[in-house]
Parts: sequence; C-alpha cells; structure tokens
Amino acid sequence: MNIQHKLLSKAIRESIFRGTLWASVFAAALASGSLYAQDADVADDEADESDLLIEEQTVVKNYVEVGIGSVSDPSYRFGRYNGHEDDGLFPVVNIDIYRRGPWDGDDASYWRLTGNELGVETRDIAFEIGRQGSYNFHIGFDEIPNYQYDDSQTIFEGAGSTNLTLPTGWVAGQTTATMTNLVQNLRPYDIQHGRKNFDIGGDVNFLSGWNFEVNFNRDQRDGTKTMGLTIGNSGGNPRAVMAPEPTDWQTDQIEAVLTYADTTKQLSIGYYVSLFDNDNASLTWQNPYSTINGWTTAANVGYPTGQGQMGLAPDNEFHQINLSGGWNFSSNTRLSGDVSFGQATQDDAFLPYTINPLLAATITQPLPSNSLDGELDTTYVGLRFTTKPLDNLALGASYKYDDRDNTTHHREFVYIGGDSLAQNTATTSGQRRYNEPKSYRDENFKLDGTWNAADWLRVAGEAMFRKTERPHQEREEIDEDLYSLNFAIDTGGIVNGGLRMSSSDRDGGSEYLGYETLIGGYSPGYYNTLQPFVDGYPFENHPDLRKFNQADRQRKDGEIYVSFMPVEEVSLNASVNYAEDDYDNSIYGLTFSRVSSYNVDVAWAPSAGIAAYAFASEERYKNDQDGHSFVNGATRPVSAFDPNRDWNTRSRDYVFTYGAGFNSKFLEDKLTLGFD
Amino acid sequence: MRTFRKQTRGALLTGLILLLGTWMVGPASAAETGVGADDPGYKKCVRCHDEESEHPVLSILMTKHGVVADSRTPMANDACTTCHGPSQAHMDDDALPPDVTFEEKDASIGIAQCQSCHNGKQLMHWQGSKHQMENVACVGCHSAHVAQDPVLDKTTEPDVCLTCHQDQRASLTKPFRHPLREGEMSCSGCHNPHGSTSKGNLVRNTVNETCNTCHADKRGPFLWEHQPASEDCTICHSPHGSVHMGMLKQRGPWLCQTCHMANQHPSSAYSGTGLPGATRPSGAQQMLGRNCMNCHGEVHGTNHPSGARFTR
Repeated sequence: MNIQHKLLSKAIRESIFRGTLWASVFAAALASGSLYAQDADVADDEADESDLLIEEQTVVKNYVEVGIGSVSDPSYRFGRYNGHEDDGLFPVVNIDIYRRGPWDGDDASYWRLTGNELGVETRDIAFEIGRQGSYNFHIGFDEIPNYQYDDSQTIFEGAGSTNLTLPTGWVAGQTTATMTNLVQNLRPYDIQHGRKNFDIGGDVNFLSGWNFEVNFNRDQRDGTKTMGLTIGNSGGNPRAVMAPEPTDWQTDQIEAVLTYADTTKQLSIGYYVSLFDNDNASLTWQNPYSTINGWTTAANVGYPTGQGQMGLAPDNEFHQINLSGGWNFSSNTRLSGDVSFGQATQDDAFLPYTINPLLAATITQPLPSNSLDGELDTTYVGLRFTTKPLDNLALGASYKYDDRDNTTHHREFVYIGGDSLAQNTATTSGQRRYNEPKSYRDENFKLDGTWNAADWLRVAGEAMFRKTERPHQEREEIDEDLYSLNFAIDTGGIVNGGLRMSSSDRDGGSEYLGYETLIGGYSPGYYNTLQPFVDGYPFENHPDLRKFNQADRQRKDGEIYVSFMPVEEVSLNASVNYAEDDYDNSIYGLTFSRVSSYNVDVAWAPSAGIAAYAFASEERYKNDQDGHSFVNGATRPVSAFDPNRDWNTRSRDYVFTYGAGFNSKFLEDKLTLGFD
Repeated sequence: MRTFRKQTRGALLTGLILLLGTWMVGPASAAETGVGADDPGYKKCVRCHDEESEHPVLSILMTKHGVVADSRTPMANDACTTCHGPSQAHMDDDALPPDVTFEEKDASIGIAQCQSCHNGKQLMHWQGSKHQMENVACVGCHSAHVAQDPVLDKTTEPDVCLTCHQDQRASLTKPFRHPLREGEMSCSGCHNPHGSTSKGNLVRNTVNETCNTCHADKRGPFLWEHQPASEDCTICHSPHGSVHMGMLKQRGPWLCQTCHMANQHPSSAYSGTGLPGATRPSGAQQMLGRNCMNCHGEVHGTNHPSGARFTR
C-alpha cells in the first residue's frame, strides 16, 4: 500500500467516526458508534484542510433529521398522498445510518437503516444488511395514505362496514325530493384509505455468476372508497345512492428468481405468485327509496324491508413461471427474450341472485354452480434479435406473443335485476344470460434499424406488423401496420434536437359484427324478439357503432424536440408532441381524437450545490364522438335509423401546467434551502 | 381440451428448461484476476485527481464501486482504469480526455464498459431497447461517482426521468394521478428503463400484469368480465395522470358511450341541460357523481350472479 493510499484510509476512518458522533447527538439510541469505537481517541481536531476535503469527498454520510413542519390550511387535495390533510405542525423525522468498513478494508459487510417521513403517514423505513458481492437481506415497511373526500356525507349508519342501515324514523320517497328528513340525517363521513406495505427478502451470489433472489411483499389496503349502489332492473327504474365501500384487502406477492449472468450469456428462471384476499365479499344496504313502478310490488323492495347487495372484488390468485435470457453470439449480435406461463384462478363462493327473501322465493332456476371455478391461462413470448453489421448501422427484429386463454366454464344464469324483480325464466327473458369468458391474443413482429448517417445525424426507423384476436367479440381479428422514422441531431454544440414521427393503419382482419356479444350473451328466445334485424341479425348496440379499441384506425404521431445549452450552466429544452387517431370507418362512437402538447423547461446550475429550474406545459385534448339516440319497443325500428336522432359530442380539454424551483446548499452542504 | 392445453404448455415449459439447461453447461468463469487497488493506474489518477482537483473523483469511494473487498468492483481490479481505460494520452496531456469518458457522442462505448459487469437481471434487454436505440448513455441517467445516485432513490428518480420526458411531467401534476410527486412511487415501479420486451418497457409482461401488482382486486377472472378492462387498462385510463376522475381518458358518460350505444339511456345524448335546476330532456343522473358508475358500480368486472350489467 502506498503512502498516499494509507493517508486516505486513515482520514476516511476518522471521518466515519466523526459522522457517527454527529449522528449520535441527534439519535443516541440509534447510532451507538460501537463499530469504530476503538478509534475514538484518533478523532481529533487536528485534521488539516486536505483531510477535511478528503473526508468530505469520500466518507459516507449518516444523518438523523429532526424538525418541525407546518401546514397553513387543511386540504384533502393537498394531503391526498402526502398525509398533510390537516393544518398545524407536524414532525419531520428522517434517518439514514449506513455502516460499512473502510473502502480498502478486507470486509465488504454493511448494514443500512433508512427512514423517511417517519412522523407522518407517508412513513417508510427499511433495513438491509449484507456483504457486498455475497448476500443481501432487506426488510421494509412503507405507508401510503389516500385521502379522497373530507366533505362527503352519508345517510347510512354503519358507514365503513359491509352493512349500511338507515337511521330510525327515516322518511322514504320515490325521489330525494320527498325524503323530508334527508338533510338532517346527513352525517359527515370522510372517504379515505391507506396502504401498508411490508416487504422482506434477499439475494445471494454463489458459484461464479449465479444469484438467487427471493422477495415477499404484503400490501394491505384498508379504509373506504366511494361506490354507486343501485336498486332497480332497467334504465327506467334505478334508484341509486352513493356510499362508502369498505376496502379490507391484502395482496401477497412472492417472487423467487435464479439468475446466471456472464458477459455473453444471461439466464433467469423465476416463479411469481400473487394472492389477493378481500375480507369483504359483499356490501349490503337498506333501500332508502319507497317502491316505484317496475319493481315487483309484492316483494317489498322499497323501504323499510328492501335491501340491495353488491358483490365486492373476489379473492383470486395468479401464478407465473418466467424464463428470461440473453445471448451474445458475437460482440455485435445478440438474442434476448422472455417466456412466461401464468395461470389466474378465482373460485369465491357465489352470492345469491338476490338478498331480498321474497324475491329469492321466486327463484325456480337456481344458480348453475356454487362458484365460478374461473381459470385463465396466460402465455407470453417476447424475443429480440439485434445485430450491428456495420459500425454505423444497427438492425433489430422483435417478436411478441401475448395470449390470454380464459378456460372458465360458459354457463347460463337467470339473474334478478338489482334486487328488485322476480326471476323471469321465460325463454324470451332478457335476464337469461350466459357468461362470456374473455380471451385475447396479440402478436406483433417488428423490424428496426438505426443508421448513424453522419457524425451529427442519426436516423432510426421501424416497421411493425400486429395481429390481435378477440374471440367472440365484435372484431374477432384485426391487423395493424406501423411505420416510424426518427431523426436525431447531435452537434455536440449548443443546439441539439430531433424529430420523431410514426404512422399506423389498423384495419383488415375480420368484419366488425356488432351482434356477436348479443348472441353470445343472451338466449335466442330473447334476442330474436329484438327488432329490426340488420343483415339477418338483431342488435343491442347500434349496428353503426364501432368500439374504438376494435375499430379501423389511422394513427399519426410525432414529436419535435430541441435542447439549447448556450453556456454550461444553462440548459433549455422544448418539445412539441402530437398524436392523432382517426377512426375513419366509424359512423358512431369515437370518430377522432387528438392530443397535442407544448413543453418548455429551463435549468440553471451556476455552481455545485445551486440549481434552479422552471417549466411550463400546455396540453390540448380533442375528442369527437358521434351517437344516435333510439328507443325500445314498437318504435325501435324507426328510431334506430331516424337521422334526426343523431347527436355528437365535441369535448376539448386544455391543461396548463407550470412550475419553478430553486435549491441551494450552504455551510459545506450542511444547510439546504429551496422552494418549489 | 383444457387437459390438452395444459399438457402442451407443460411439455413446452419442460423442453425450454432442458434446452436452456443444456445451453448453460460449462458457463464461462467471470474474470476475477484484478490487480488490486495498488495498481499503478490508481496511483497515477489520484496524483492529479486528488481531493483538491477541479474534477474530484474520490467520491466514488463512497459507492459500491469503491469497495475493494468485493472482488467484482472497479477498485478491486484496475481501479479507475477498469472503467476509464489505461488513458495514457490523457496522462501525458491532461487536455485530452481519458480513453473512456462515458460521455462520448457514441454512447455505446461507455455502455459497453458498464455492461462488461452489469448485464443480467433488469439489464438483460438493454440492447435494442428504446433508450439504447436513442443513444442514451448510462451516465445520461446514472451518477456513478456520488454516494447516492439520484436515479436510484425513489424520491428523486422521477426528476431524472422527467428531464427528457417532459410531457409526463405535466401529467404527474394533474388532479388524478399516481403518487410520484410525493415520492411514494417511482417511474421504475412500472417501467424498466433498461428495456423489456413488453409494451412501454413495463416491469412485467403486459399492461394488466403490471397494473395488477398493485390493483389485484381487478384481476379476476370474473364471472362477468368487461372486455376492455380484461384486455388493457390503458384503453380507458391514462396512468400518468388525467384531469378526469379515476385517471380516465375522458369523462363519463361520454367515455362509456364510445362503446355502449344500446336503445334507451345508453344511447341518449347527455349534456348539462338536464342537471338539477335545468330543464329536461337530458337525464341528470348520468352526468352527476360517478355518472354511469352511479349504477354500474363494478365496471371492472364482477362475480355477483346478478351482475351481468355490472350493477351488482
């Protein structure tokens, strides 16, 4: 070891100890300083300026930050995710204690304790320990609040539970106008929930290039969110209330991955499981409305006996095996890819068709099974081949296959509409329905290339061919071609920039058959009553509607960006983005959409420790949508094609965003001042 | 049919594992022949780049790269020259740069240096990734010489990403968004900036698989599925932020009506004229509160036997 090296090591050890003492003043219980206690007498005040500089530049800093913050006004919007929904003082507590041996020591062991915002609801704390290059173990906890509404009110007792009841003496009505004691029965109820996230895991390196990693994560979400609850069986007789939906969810995720990597070959084999558990199967509420026409009168659906029951998210599981690899055939040619097989299952017990006992007594065709026994198999393949035949030319080819095969049973259900109607088992019943497990397959093949045409110019392009299949949907198969071209100018000087543009055309494949989901989801006895027929088939949605995710589409998007750096301390960036979708064969539905944005930002960093920025952005959203209003019954055939019943919506959203900030460090980086 | 599918998948999986296992036989040994921190390369560098240098480099000793006891690190091998090359020309004339500065116009030079060690796990799909094709250098995002690389800290990572992704900066300030500004999430929670084979460089294979890591309640499979929700969350949602409730792309009922136009209320024209205090014909209830979801509350799918229309 050379002399200079020794000096540096000594200075580092001393500095680590001083850092420990400093931290101990603020958090004696946390930082014992025992690791380097034997060097205590070495820490002195004789360090020369050079030593201090070395220390400043080389010693890992530990800190405990304790302070007080203040919020001027209460605001749920402000505090939604940061926990500062109330005004007043709040504690500021942050820690970062990092312990490891000297950089040139013979032991790579370390441990680290970090905690952020420990005094408020956004707290997170993490501890890790290990030996660098050998193993790591970590454990952590993180909280995320979500304050949604503090000005909400409810008429229900038991808010936040799974059983909502009305107060004594409730006066029902067919509309809220006749609920004479509604206002005095409104009581404040805040809508909020929070996540508590716990994780534990680690990894170990073994042999040469091998690593095994396993992580467990538990995410608990408790609280409430809003839910619309309705009693009624058609668009003509719904009676809805807004109520708090209790969330008592837990998601456990475990992932174990075995990896091998060297400079030419990499491989990983992993197993991933996600288990979702909901403690609440349903939400039941007492009907605040009195019986109205359209509800089965004899079933006492209205207040006080009527109830509704909403199904909440069912427990489910997802298991997946993942294989990933990469192989450099040569220094210029590589193949990499992912292959995954997954299975999602869900087998929660079915709720009854209705919670209303008088309606349940009308059931003559019971549930076909006690649970769904739902099973969904997923297969994913993503391959990527790249090569560089010339120094200034790179070529690539990609293939992607994403298959979602829903093998859940297809069964017949004769449902009861909104806890308000006797079961109708007639062959013409619109409540005789068949569940339609949704499958999906997406394949695409892409060719791309990058050509460094000149020292200052890079040209890149790609062509993608995509086929999407949606069995038993309106458009069972659709094709899309995409072409893009990018120019990037890098002068190495004060102005750089580029242009990106792409165009895609989605069409072809199979014909759009609007009746597919109707005849797949209803009984023939019902859909054959729907008049008129078009091309020999009935329709539910208007036959000229094209759902935008399955419709023909011409897409164009582009971006122009410029960066300007007149001097080293100042940078200015500007960009214009544009994306346009033209659904050229859609008569009704979304026919056109466009998003354009204009962005500019400037940064100024006159010296180390001082930085300022400002930005502004304007976004313009344009959506054009055409529709046609038509009615049920005898006039349906006429109204469906009466041009006077056309309507359109032209929505325009303009979003302006701007901001600025400044940060500066003083007193050898010990004091930071800033604003945003 | 289901049994056959399972057998086919099982056989395919077994075959893949055997193939890959065979391929892995005799893996090359990782280089472990570093010359240690006493290497002349280190001495030569700190001769100029000492604690008072205009271009200080010593802070790398605070990082994982500076731990000599880990035989994989630069400092355990040829020290500075492990990454920057022998740089004889630079030592002869300090006006000339080191052999590898990581800031070359051709980013692949510096990337190759980094990838000589960093090539597995999340970095497996770097080559051919969007950032690689855009000539983004490792140092374009990472700061290797500071104790805490900002892009590896959840609270500061978005600032790094937003330097280039300007349009997302605006989205992340919208009224309905994910909690990135508060440091409760990071861009890399959903995206792998080093590339992946999925759309948008997501951390899992598909959009829904990625969303379901936090929103498993919407995974199903449900008895009554809503086709776009099962297919791709981004058909209806703008995950970077929106001015519409629930990060929807457009406000209801119009968003719903882009796909639902059955007779009666689904096909009616809705505007503000039917709101309380105004005159019909437009129905008010479809414009208020959660609009269509006032009644169709389980729009992501439901397991209730009477939920064919997502009202249960």
